[in-house]
Amino acid sequence: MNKIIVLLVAAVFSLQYSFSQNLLEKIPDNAAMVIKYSGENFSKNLTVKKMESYPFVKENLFKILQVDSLTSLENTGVNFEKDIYQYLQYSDSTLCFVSLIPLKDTSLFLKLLEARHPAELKPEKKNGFSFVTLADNNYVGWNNEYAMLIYSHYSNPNRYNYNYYSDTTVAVDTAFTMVDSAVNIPVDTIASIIEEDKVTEEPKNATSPKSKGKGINKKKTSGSKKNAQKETKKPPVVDEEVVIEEVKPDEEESTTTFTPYFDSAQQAKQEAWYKEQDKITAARQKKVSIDLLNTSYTGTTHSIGETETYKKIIDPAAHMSGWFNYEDVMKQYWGFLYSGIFSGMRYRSLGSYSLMDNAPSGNGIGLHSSMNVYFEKNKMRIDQKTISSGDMQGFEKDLYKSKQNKSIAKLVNPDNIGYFSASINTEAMAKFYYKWLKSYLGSQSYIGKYADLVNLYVDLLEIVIDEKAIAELMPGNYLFVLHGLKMKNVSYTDFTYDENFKSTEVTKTKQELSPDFTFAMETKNEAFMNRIANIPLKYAEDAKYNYKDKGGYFELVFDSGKNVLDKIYFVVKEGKVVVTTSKEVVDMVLQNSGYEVDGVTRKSILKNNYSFKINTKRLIQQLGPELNSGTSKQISNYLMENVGDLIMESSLKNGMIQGTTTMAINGNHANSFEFFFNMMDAINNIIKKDKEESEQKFN
Amino acid sequence: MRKLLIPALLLCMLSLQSCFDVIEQIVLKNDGTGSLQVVLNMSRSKTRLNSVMKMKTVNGHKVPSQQEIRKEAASLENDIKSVPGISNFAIAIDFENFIAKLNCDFKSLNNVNEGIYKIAATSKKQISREKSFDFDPVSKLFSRLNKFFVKDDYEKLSAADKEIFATASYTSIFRFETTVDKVSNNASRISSDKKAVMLKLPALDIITNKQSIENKIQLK
Repeated sequence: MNKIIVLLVAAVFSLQYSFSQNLLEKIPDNAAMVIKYSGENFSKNLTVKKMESYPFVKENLFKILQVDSLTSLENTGVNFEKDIYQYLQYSDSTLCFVSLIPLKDTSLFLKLLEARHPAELKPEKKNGFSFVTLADNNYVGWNNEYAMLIYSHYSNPNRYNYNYYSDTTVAVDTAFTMVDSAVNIPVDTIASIIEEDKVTEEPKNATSPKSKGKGINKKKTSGSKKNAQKETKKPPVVDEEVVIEEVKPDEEESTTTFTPYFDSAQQAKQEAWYKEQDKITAARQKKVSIDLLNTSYTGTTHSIGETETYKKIIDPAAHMSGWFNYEDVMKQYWGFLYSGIFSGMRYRSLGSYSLMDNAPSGNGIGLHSSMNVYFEKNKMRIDQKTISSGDMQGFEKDLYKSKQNKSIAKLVNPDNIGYFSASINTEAMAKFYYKWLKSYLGSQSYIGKYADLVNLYVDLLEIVIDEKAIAELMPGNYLFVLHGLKMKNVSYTDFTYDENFKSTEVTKTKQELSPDFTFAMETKNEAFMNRIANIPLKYAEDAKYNYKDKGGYFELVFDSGKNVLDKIYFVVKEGKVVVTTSKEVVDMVLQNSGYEVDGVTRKSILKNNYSFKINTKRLIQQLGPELNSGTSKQISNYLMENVGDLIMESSLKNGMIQGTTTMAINGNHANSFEFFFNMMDAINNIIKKDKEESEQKFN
Repeated sequence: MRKLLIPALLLCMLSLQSCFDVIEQIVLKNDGTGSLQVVLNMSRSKTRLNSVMKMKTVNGHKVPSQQEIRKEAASLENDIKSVPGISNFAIAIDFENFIAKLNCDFKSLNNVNEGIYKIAATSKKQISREKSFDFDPVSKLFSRLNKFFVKDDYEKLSAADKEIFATASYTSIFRFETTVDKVSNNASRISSDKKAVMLKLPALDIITNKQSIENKIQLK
């Protein structure tokens, strides 16, 4: 009886597990980037049925998915009510972009797949999952619960490393070493990859630290001529899917030769080399992809969802969220770059140093960032959080220890189009620069071994450069305001014709938009800034520009008929450096007064390190004269009615850099997510209608 | 002309909603000799072009400098001067108003055709030796032909680049010693003295083949 109860409980739990499994558990903690689409939250905002009722979705999305336009997305087998994840991972020198898609009907999903994979490639069954190859770098695995789409890219370091002077490079059947006088370079072969594959056939656990992955670098350190000779005795191993055409090196040319011209035999050898490298690349990509599938479906994954950082900055209630590990992203970017296009340079110019081993890694900055997107009723909101560790945490605190100057904030006029205010601590920035420079230079393989000298040089630089003086000159408070767009008359030349079509050159005028803006920054060293503002006076005549001292401010006058701007003013007064097109602003600065800024704007500027706002309606209104063609006018009218203000704020809160960006939505939309579909639909209809009308006109 | 048009149009492309006019004028005598003038007027966009000329690149396009444009024009002059029957070839570029004028005299319209072929041949495209102009002194029939179709090239442009053609125009004026009897292109107009024919079309209509610049003009 007990046995039956235990079995019953186990069955219930396994059933429950299969329904409640969160795909986040399948994402390893060493992923560099994770994107989540919350199925539950999205389906509350817009059902699949409603989404596919938009014609542009059927026309474009269905086309991409190669789905019959009469079919519903609900018949793709994908469970859109569950969360979909995508992540980026670097494994065995291969960059993998993985999508995890929950399934509700595997047979329907397979039907969708059938149309996409080459007919000759049949699905293969593995322990606990099946998979199919869509392309050399594209694999799909699945079981009854979820599908895993993998895009993999192996930057084969030898792809651009053909040795024109040695035909040993074309030996393909075994592991081998390309030798020149300076370096020993072990080269990947398909055989070696397959050997690795055999070893890793058993499911392995995806864990950090990342060093568990067998990267190409590991092989390189063991590479030597001796090893290569030893390995050449192994019988060639041929992959079932990757058939290698063996190219035998010409015995007479088996030693390194220098041939000045490229004959057809050499060309054939070169082509064989590239072909071989492509096959090696494909084999590596396949191996890494299958390893990932094995681990995901049958292994144990140390999930990123369990890490404190992820939990702290990712909000499960968001419709969509993104998680970025800057350090890993940087490492992968540099690794990619170094192992790819710069690989030849590495071998030829830098001797035996491997830049790949020491690619800049983000310099221990320990930055993790998140983006949580919410599609609310009347606005779309994006919350950004950046969390750091070590030195970086202290740096952030110091950098954000700054407040915008109140008199600078007063330069925002009430009916402005937009503004951007930034307040950062320049001195902290300058000080961090030395740390960063030491860390960056120290991470460079060719400089790293001279770290003591480099550190000495950077310390000397720190002594010479007076960051306090820099901070006095520019403490870190900046503001840009776009007051408005004014119309101005501009002359141009045209031709008129008399009754006999004889032409006459005439000067006409037309109206053009001219920006009215102000840039201001704080200074504690007015004398120095005044010297800078005075300098152009001396050279104005020789350089033929109209720059004058107007008593308290400077004026640069442009040829009004030729330029969008008429004048720019420069003022240094009361701890401010102001560059503006507005005489009103000049007068206010001289009198140390300002605009009456509304409370919300004032608070946003003074309470945040970054504050940004665009009044979309006002911007489109003032751009009106430029958007006067049929479709542009209709589209701008639609946007003016439906899009509200765009606001961004950022400051340091709870030890994290936290920012919020909102885009307000007007008009008749169920929510801001639906608005995006409605907007795309409306714009498509405007363009379509215009096209039809113009075609009718022509016919 | 194509060689000069490329940097000029590139400049135009770089500024959104720029506009330009191409004016082609031929004065043809009864013996088939005459003069040709092509004007590229970008004056309406001069404020934007002034700004763009100060930049190195805009929207991924390299901005040619005044010197580069002049060099291109000089190279074009050299190419055309070697065409038999073409004389007094000159290109004048006014960077104040952004107007470029190309003037030359010809012994026969076939010389002009040869010049156009030579310019077109500098492009990467394979082109056939087709006539752009023809005049038969016996039948007194003047023809403006067009064998260059650019619709496919236009379709490949980005939406922003396409925008510059939205308000561009093409004007042709053909002037004769004798009076015009009839014209084949309904969009063209005959002057009061009946000795000139003018055709003004939106560039976009020509590019998209909605309207043609082709015209057969029968002289009396």
